[in-house]
Amino acid sequence: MNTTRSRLKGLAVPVKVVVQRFALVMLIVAASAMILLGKADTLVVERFRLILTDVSAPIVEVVSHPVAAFGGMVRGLNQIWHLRSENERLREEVERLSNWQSVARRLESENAIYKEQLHSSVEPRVAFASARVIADSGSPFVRTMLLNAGARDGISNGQGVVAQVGLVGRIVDTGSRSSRILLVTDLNSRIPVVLERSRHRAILVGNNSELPRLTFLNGGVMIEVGDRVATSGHGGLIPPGVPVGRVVSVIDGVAVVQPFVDLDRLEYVRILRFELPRLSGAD
Amino acid sequence: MRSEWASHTRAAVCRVTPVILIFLMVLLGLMPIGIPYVDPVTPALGIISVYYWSIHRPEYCPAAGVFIIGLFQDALSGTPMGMSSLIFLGVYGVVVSQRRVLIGKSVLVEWLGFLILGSVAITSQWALSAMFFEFFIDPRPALTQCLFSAAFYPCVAWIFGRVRRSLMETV
Repeated sequence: MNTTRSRLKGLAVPVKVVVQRFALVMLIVAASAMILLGKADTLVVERFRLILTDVSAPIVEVVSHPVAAFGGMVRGLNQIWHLRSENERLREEVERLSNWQSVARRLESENAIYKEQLHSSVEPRVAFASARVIADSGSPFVRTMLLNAGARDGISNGQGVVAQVGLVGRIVDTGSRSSRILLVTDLNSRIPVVLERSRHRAILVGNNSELPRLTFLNGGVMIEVGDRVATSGHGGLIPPGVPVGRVVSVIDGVAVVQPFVDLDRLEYVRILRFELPRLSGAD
Repeated sequence: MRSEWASHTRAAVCRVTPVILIFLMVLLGLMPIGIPYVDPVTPALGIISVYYWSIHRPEYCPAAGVFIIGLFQDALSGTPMGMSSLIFLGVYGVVVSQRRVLIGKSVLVEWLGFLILGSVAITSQWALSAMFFEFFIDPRPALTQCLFSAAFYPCVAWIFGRVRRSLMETV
């Protein structure tokens, strides 16, 4: 009896090893198949991704709180260290912006008068929802961020995302309680923009570096370092005039843009619910 | 009776600890810390964790668990689905098959093993991403991630070592 048991035990170990190796091979095949499926039929894979993201979003949010608190503590110490110089810089900025404020008020009232005289159509109002960044990509190969708001908060794919000073990206995946932003620096990001000075249209193309490039729709455009870039509103998902960045260099005719938003230090963002009025008079 | 229950509980905790720790490390790697110059490239905490537990406790770190954690990493980070699972399983497979070369050796040998395998894993991920997106991705962030990961390995391994010794040595 004992001999049979020990023989069975002796057999069980190699069988276990074979099963484990077979399982490993099968899982490697499954992972490869999933990558290929993601390339061929993005809809099925993206739906699966959304399910996993929605399931794990609450856990991610819980974990993100202490990490954010730690980051806030380090930033706080850094701010204390630079308190004096920061104070000086802010004083100068307040003075400069106060002058701009009076100019802006005058231009606003002038603009309102001209619009009234020209019977100009009223721009659609932009509503927004706020959300917290709960995870970033953590990978050098994609530039995305996960938000703690989803379809139940009125968020849908394609909506523009902004921080205080400019455009962050656009929503590409929307779950019920989470959504993903594709940052303007991601290599799959394409944003219709316009040069504020010359009003030339272009597409802002991400390349996974910190500095996206401009691809112009028309040739012969004179670009200067320092030119400001804003959204053009083409496509109808992101409102026109949202500041994007500034041209920092022009290499072989290719303009390199530095986004206004510091994408590494985002905590809260606003998702723009912008919808153009319907063209047809549908009921 | 009471001690039997306690030992059962302890054994159950040991069985799930590696998978939970790998999952937590993956989540930690995705957290936006918001500290200047830190966030753009973070160490590959998932690869570090899979490497460590595949050497020290492969029996508590099943391939299916590694596969599922990889899927969660892909879902949360936005990388192509299946990519992290494939990389994690590659690391797991190599380490389990070469375990006797690494087990019981000095920390330096283990770290050197990670330096080689971690770099190969990150480079493979870079090449796969470039092929998937059909775009030449700048390899410098991947190189930085290799260096970051190698620098972080001793620290993470030390924490895991403490957990392993306090929980699993007596089981």
